[in-house]
Amino acid sequence: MPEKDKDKISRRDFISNTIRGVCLLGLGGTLGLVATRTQAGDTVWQIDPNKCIGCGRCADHCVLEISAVKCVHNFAMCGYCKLCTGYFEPQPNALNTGAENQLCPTGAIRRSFVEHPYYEYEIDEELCVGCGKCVVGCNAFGNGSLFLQIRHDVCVNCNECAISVVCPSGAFKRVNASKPYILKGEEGE
Amino acid sequence: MKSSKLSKIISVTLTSISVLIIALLIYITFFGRDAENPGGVFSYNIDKYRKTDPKLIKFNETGSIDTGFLSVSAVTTDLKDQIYVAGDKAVRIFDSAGNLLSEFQLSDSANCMSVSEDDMIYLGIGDHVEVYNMDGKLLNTWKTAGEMSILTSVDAYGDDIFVADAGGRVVLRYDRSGKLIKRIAEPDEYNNIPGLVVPSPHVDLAVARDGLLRVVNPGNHRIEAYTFDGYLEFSWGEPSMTIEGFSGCCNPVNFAIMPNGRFVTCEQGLTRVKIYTEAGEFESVVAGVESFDMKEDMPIPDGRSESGSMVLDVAVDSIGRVLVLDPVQKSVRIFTEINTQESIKEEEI
Repeated sequence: MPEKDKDKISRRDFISNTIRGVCLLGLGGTLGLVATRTQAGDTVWQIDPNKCIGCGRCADHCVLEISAVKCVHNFAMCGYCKLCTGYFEPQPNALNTGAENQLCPTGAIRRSFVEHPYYEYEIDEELCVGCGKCVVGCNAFGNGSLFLQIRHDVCVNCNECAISVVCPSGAFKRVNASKPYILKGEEGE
Repeated sequence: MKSSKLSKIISVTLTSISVLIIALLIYITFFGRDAENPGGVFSYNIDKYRKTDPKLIKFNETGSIDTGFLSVSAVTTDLKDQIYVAGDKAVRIFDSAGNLLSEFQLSDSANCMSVSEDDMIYLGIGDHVEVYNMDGKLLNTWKTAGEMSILTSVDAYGDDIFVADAGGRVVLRYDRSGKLIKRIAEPDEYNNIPGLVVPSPHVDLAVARDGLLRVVNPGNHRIEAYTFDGYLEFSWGEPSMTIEGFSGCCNPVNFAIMPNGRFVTCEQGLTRVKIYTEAGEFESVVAGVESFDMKEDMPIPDGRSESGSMVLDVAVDSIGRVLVLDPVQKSVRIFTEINTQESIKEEEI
């Protein structure tokens, strides 16, 4: 081989180097994907209650038959209203537990007397479908102690949460799995 | 021949059905479900209460005063119809035409304010009252009303200063020096006083022209009349989303008393300003929900929660103009009764 041709790369070397490069790229990509997945495993989906507008999409866009999104109640914030706008229809016939007076379409909120004129409201998560109707009612007039959260004993933590895709307010975000809930009034703690 | 025609009809029908099914599937896949709310019984809808019957609106918006504040919290007037607005950590004083007369700084943001006949300005700041003169000089700082206190209303009436403490669920009657004379509106079974129900920090009060103190009991949706000694005389108001009542969990949030004794009330949730007679009968609307509505594509501004709720404060002047403090526009919006406008025009003619 002439001296000047020694610096030139042969066709065989070129192909060999290219294949090696593609393999390295593939390996890097695979490692990156694995790293991303590992990271996703340490995080879970959650709803930022300060961004949630209670649009109702959580109820029917979750991949589960009954949504993993449930209403939760911050008792420390609650006004224990006699006329709770998260519990009662906007214009109830009477302020009692009659089904016709209840706002929740599945009857998932329980009302119990505390002392005059205060009442306590509890969520039955088995019945709650995460429609957020009560959340809107509470926010419209009250102090927003009812809000939506993803319950992680139910959620399957999809890589791409189907609800997050359609959430109009961008309230869905990944949070550290060690602190999986965003509770109203305790954000800074 | 017949068989061929029949098979052709069947073939066309089946093809049409297939096309329809495919079209339906495509629609459901791409348009039918995405970005739709469940609707129906799963949606909270109070739209019908957001519409005000135009026949009930007896006031026109005739002007506004830009306060220049980043946030506003209270409005009041004095005997000269000067308009006082508390916002940020200051008070600005405007003449009745809206011209800025003076301004002074406060130690903190004031929730409420009242001007006495001798031109002293009493401000509820957090858990205590501060007293200023017209030059903005701090004359007195009263001791805290209580550990849980959130002062939401103050009214200077003669030698008495009445203060509403939403945190303590009580009305405090002080003398001019800040000495506590009487606790009013606390639960008292013997005197048939149910006590204040305060789900959110809004309790307003004012002395009416009959000499009785009016106090809002927001969780019970009514305005209660007390003697200065703390006896409950009567009350009026009822919960209702309809225009006649007070909506939601806790309303009205603020009120003012007109020169002829009528009440102007402000509600949150269904943000509306209404007039009631001295006896508490609904009379008319100053400004309906539409006057404070927000366009759907408008970003949520300060002074308003995501639900669209906002808390208005209100004052009146000697000619019956209703001055509504709008926390979104940061302005005092002036509403004039249509009858008053007509009488002014007649006088001009």
